[in-house]
Amino acid sequence: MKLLKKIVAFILREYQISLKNFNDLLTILLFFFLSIFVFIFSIGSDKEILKSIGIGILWSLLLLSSTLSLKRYYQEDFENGTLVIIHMSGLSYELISILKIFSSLANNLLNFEMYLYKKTILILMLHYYYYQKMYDH
Amino acid sequence: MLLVNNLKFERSGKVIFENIHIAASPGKIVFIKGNNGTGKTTLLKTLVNILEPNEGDIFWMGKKTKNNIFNFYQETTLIMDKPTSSLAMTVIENINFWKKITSSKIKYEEIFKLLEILRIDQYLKKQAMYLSLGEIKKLELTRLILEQKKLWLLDEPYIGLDGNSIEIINETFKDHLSNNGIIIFSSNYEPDFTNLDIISLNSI
Repeated sequence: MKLLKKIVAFILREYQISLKNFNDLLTILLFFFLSIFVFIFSIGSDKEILKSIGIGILWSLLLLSSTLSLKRYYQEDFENGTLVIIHMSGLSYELISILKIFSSLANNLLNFEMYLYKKTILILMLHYYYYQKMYDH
Repeated sequence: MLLVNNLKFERSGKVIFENIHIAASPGKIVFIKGNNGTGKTTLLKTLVNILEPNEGDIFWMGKKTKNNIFNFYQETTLIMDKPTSSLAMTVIENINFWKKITSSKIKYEEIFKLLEILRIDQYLKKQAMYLSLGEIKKLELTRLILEQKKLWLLDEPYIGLDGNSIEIINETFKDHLSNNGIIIFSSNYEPDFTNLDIISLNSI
């Protein structure tokens, strides 16, 4: 029971930090959209090519953009000694790293990438709708 | 009580310190003295098993700390020179986190009284990044009272503090010593305690 309370406190802390680091979110967002633009400009507007590689590009960009904030999640706590303090309160290093992975995933996905998914799906839908209208005429 | 026997630490072939003996019984305060770069922080880190010593043993209550480290951690508060409070979180969120993760039973009234004495009570809902260096250090030092442990290990507790706060910290130390606590600290500033045990790292 004590252990569970400690784990909850730890996850709550990660969530609170992720909420307040809005700059990180903005960096990821800008990186994501800029790289999409770069891809489209460099490949060209050929619909067949975009269709075949577009989804792959989106997924790999999502992965890349989520690694941008990894440093904050791990390095900062290691450098200023928070990791040791948390370890001394009774959580093993293995448990801390597992919790870190899950909480960073959850925070990244829930806060931000869910938002991104919605946006990208919306964009793709608009895209298809627009093209279909063009072919209808 | 904490017993350290013939401790030696090497880093890439260079001996940082050797022949360190510490015997800290309840009510004793140990001062680790040394110039910059003589290994004060390294010694404190080896005491809490963050770094492993090349030779020597550390005993807590007659048992080796290495084998039952979590029993040792249950009675130890460690305060390093860098602040571990998250700068993105507010003061009260930091305190809440420490209170929960150390499962401390201290009441909130006592915490607020403590913050009032240290004069950081008006920043409760401010993010820690807006506090000054000394105020962050004071926030860090509240962990001593919050955790209510027996052994206090401190690395440079006086950094950034004004004269008034140093007096408060010294009073807290004396209070802890009279309650059979043990304090081990390193600092460049030498406070005047009557029964100060000095361990010097300078000769090496």
